[in-house]
Amino acid sequence: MHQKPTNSFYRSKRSAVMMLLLAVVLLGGLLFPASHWAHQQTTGLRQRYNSKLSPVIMIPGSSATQNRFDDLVKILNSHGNKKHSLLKVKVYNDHRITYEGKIRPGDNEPIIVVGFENNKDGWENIQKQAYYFHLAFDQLSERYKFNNFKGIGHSNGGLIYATFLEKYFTDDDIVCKKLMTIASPFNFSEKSIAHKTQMLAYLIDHRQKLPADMTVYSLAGTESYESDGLVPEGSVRAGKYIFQKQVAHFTEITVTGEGSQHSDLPQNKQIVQYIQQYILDLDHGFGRPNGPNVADNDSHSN
Amino acid sequence: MSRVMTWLTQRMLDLQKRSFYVVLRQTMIVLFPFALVGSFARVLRMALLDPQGFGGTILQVTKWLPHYQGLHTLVGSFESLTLGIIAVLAAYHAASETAALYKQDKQIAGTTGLLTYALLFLTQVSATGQLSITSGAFHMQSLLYGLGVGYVVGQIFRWWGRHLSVLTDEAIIARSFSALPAIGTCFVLCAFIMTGMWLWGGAGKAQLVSLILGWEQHLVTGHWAWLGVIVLTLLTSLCQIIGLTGPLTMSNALSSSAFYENLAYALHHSNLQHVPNRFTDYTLYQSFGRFGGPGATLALIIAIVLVSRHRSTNMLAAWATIPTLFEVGLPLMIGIPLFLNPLYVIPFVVAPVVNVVVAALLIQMGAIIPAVYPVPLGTPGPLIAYLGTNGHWLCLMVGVLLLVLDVLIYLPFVRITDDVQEQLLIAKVTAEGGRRDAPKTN
Repeated sequence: MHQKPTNSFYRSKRSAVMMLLLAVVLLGGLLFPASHWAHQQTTGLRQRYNSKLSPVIMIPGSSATQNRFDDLVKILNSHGNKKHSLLKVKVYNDHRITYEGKIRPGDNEPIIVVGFENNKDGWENIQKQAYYFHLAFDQLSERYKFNNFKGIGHSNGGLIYATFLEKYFTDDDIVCKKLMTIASPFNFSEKSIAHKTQMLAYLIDHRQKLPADMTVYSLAGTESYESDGLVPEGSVRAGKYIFQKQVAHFTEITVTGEGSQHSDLPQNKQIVQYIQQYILDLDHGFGRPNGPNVADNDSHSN
Repeated sequence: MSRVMTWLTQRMLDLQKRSFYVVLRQTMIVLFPFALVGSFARVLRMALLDPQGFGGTILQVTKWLPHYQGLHTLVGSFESLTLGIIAVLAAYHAASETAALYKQDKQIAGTTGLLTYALLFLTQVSATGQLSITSGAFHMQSLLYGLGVGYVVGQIFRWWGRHLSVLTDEAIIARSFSALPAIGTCFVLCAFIMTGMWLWGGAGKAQLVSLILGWEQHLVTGHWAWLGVIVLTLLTSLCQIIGLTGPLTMSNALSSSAFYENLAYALHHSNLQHVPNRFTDYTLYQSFGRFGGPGATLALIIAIVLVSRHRSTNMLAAWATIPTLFEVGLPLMIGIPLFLNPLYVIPFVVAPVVNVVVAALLIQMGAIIPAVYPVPLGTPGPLIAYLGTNGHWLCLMVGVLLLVLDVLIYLPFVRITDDVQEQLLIAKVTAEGGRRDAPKTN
């Protein structure tokens, strides 16, 4: 009833057996790197999940460097009980990333400033800078395993943040709780929304990619009724077309009076207050996390 | 046994006479090489080249393989243009073969089938009623649709086309014109259906999809979750052997709330015995139900190697081993074919259910712990439970045990298929007096 097996049958049976053995060997070979990876991954996941670290990451504006916020950090550290470590990051055009300063062990709210070798103006450059920020952010999140952060962007820094959040940021493991943009010209130097720049059009078109659980504060400074000496108020206000109805909360604040010229804004008294009130985590005031050996006023900018 | 065999053989003979079945078989034969190439491309891409896949994370290919991004795109394009459009190709061939059965113009019918299918599924209506272009329904999970549409187009040509024998002496233009009524009918019908889908609205479809997904979520949470997963496993396997998307392939196990709850619990405590949801599609179906893709087809390969006497079946098993290991079940689906094959329905549906039931029992007894950690794309089936529990050796043992069980389930059906194929061959030879058109056995 059954036909006599031929040579080609034996060949086919042999290939089938060999493939199965190959599969077993493959599985066995993959077992060890795979379990090593699994252990690493769960340790990393556990660290990130249980992490209490919640840094404030700042991006300076055009022509500014990672030293831009030194004064601001000094002021923040001179008020309040908390002394925030300052970590300065610089991303070069060749994607090299260098660090200056460190995060004190026990400091749960360090300030990280990310500057770029390319700090020029223009939509082309903003997109490049958003990519550089993406590289730095990846490295920082790998190294420090925080599961949430707050962002502050001054001038072009705010534009870089908006582009980064829309283009590169995936909120799988990390939450961007709050974002503050200070004098960020979302429509560059256009005064009116009737003329949309390419950047504004892009940011509006892709606004659904913004994290929906984020709280955004858009601060504008005005010396005259229309601008802070550099950026038209109408351009800063254009941010509402990007953020309003996309993020959880969106608040606009206008700051006037002394120190409301464009480059003075990061040190402006009112803005410092807003940062303390809205961006920084609440300071309960009883006891500092690492006890009595807290650094004094100067050590934050080592 | 011999009476059952005779009955089975007779049923299969009858089945094979039906035009749909002839078309199915011919189409599968033509599609197979492309499905095979596409499957290897898919395994290569997912398991090796994808930065988030198995190779990317565990073997860290992104760190040492030069030009891996380019390779990823290159290999991915091979995958997209074979597996990604296999439903369209199926429509072409089904239309062509059906037309050939009735002596119609194969090529024109085939092209019409391809275009009709593409048109029907090219546009998609979003929830807000916007028409947009998508390639979502061209791939392997729409195989049944492709085949069905092709068959219908072929039948339209049967009634509205002109017999080829009438056309042999006529000029090319005459050939085209004589096909126009058939083509026209197809396109008009197509337009009607498309308008209907548009008017009924993407809202309708989106609602249906979210209804199904919601019902699914409901089934896999709560006290009866284990039963829900069993039911869904059954349904999914059933859908897949018919060539449709099953409920558990529609949803992404890694994005369910149950998964996140489990993960959060696991990261907080270290004891996995008391995770909140012990029976989810991830802990049961993905970890143990799918060994080699839908239907636990890895066991089928082992069963074939053990008992099959047919050269072509063994060759098929050899070629399909690697793709099946990485859970790409298409070579077996199209090669045996498992697709719409009544002889294999029982083991295909029963094996995953058995796996899920045994795994659930073992978890319930506390013998093994449920998988909570995410594993990368393209992880071979047997490793998922092991990696998902962060290296729990017992899970690997259970996996082997289940594989053995599944092989035992598949063995009799492989034997039956072998025997039926032989009987069919004998029947054909005697019926047609020596003229063979069945695939050669050894």
